[in-house]
Amino acid sequence: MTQTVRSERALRLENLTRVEGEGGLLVRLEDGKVKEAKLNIFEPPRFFEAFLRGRGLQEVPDITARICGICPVAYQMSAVHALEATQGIQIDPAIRSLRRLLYCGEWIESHALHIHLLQAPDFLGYESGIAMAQNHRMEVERGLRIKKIGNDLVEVLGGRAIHPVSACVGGFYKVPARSELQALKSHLEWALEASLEVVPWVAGLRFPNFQPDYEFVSLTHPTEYPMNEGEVISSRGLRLKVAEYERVFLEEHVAHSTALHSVRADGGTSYFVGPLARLNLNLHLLHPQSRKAAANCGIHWPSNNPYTGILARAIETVYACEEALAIINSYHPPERARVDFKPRRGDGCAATEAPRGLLFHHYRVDEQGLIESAKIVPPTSQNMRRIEDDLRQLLPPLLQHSDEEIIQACEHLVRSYDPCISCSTHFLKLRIERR
Amino acid sequence: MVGLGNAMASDDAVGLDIVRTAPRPALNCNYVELPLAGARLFDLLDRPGPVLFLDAVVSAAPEGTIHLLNLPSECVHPRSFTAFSTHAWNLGEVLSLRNALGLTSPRIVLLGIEISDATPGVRSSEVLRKTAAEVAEALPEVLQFLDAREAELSGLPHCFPDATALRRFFALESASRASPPVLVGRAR
Repeated sequence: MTQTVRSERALRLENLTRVEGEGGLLVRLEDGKVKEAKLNIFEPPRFFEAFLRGRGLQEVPDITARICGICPVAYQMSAVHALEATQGIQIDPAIRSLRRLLYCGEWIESHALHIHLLQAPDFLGYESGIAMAQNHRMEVERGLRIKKIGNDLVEVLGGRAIHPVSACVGGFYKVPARSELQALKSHLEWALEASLEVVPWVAGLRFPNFQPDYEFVSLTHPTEYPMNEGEVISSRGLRLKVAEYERVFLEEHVAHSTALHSVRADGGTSYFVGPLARLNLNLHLLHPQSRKAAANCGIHWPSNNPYTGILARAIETVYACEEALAIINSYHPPERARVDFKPRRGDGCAATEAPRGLLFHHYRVDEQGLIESAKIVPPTSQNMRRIEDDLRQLLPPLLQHSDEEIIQACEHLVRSYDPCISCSTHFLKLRIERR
Repeated sequence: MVGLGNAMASDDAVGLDIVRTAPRPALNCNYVELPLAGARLFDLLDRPGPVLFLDAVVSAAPEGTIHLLNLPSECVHPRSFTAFSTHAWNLGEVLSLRNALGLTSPRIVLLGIEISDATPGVRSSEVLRKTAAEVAEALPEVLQFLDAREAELSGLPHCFPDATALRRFFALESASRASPPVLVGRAR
């Protein structure tokens, strides 16, 4: 609905589609300039951090997995690593590999879904993935099959595809037999070839020319593309141990949102997490085929264009297939599925790389192994302020366009972040007010 | 048979509870627990069917009412399918996508239990846990009815005030299979 009073112009977009959860966007203009741009999150607060208080530490992975239906593994991984830090547990290398394999499954299914059904329609001018599927049937079928293979990997390792149940503090309740993983090999080999085809398809999409000056933040590791472990680094020279995360990054309540916003503690500035950040900061750690795909895709890395996040996801899908096959090829079931331990008082934190970016957990546990406090910082929360900054920068040259075009451009930008709004309420009703 | 719902949101777990307590040896079907009706739904419909979804519903009916109907429906919607986003797809979107890709979909039936509370972090009510157990016991009769009615889309919908009425209906239905069905009620 559009109303015009003097130079006022009101735009209303009822729902931001093709993101998880519900959100709205208010843009206020004065004298043709963007006065404010606010992402209003009206997803009911999840209170997961409060739910966890008083729970046994082995309940935490199953509870936190339910924060999100699309990235439950990420929540489980950050939870188990943080809780193992509270208990001083060192996991076996074979368990470590299985956790990476589980994460590969989630990256594959999440990235394939986002590329083919959430963001590609924007680039190709379709209102939905369903509309796109009619004219790009081969690409959508290929994407859905890649996604299913990721789901199947999570199901074999995790016990089920949605909210997997096998991960626990200390390892896994059950580990797969070598034959169970070998049965996935041919499917993953197909997925690797298919995802190599996806990269040039995505690279051929037309990316809007928009390149803000970002501070990219992700984990890094000396020897592997980061998933479960590493230090936190940024494109502006930051390097810190995960235990220092809360000293450097601050969460703020904002009046217009039930999601907290994250900023740099030292300057209040926004930052950018996610596949584009990971790839920009860790390109040299890709496996050969994904590294070659990144080198040949026509984009000069590091890229400051948020729309190229779809390409980063495509390259990471190749990487995840390579990594999964490497782990499966060398897999022998560990002697023990998990480390036994006696609960003790402790304080620990961890960060892992969810499909959407860095996910931080911090727990304090009492002498009985019950949770005294929990802090969970999802990647989408960390990107909220950055999304608002982007919108403030994106809008001025668009103001001459129609309301519908402005709304579409804002939606497209928000979707490039692949926000998981349900996760971020520890998407889009757009209103633009012009004075 | 697909049990849907949120195990951590009070009575929204009813679909999952029914599938978990179903007398599986007595039933000739595959079972799936689907805490989130996301894109996974697309793969679940890749079968000749039929597919029976078990889920909580919220309509104008009293708590504990049991709905049995073909999906998609204009009147009664499973709670797990009401999201508009693609991370938690609604059934209409899944069927449209399958149609766009030239894929056929099986017959889909909902056995929905009316709930009034889906508060996160709260245990399910005694009434709904009892209803879930009774419905689980009645599943052999439900599947027998659906098998007998597989070719007839007009055999549904039905609406029952409780599991006793559900079982009484199927007992009568089974006894008079050659005659027109005795309808207990219609879904609103």
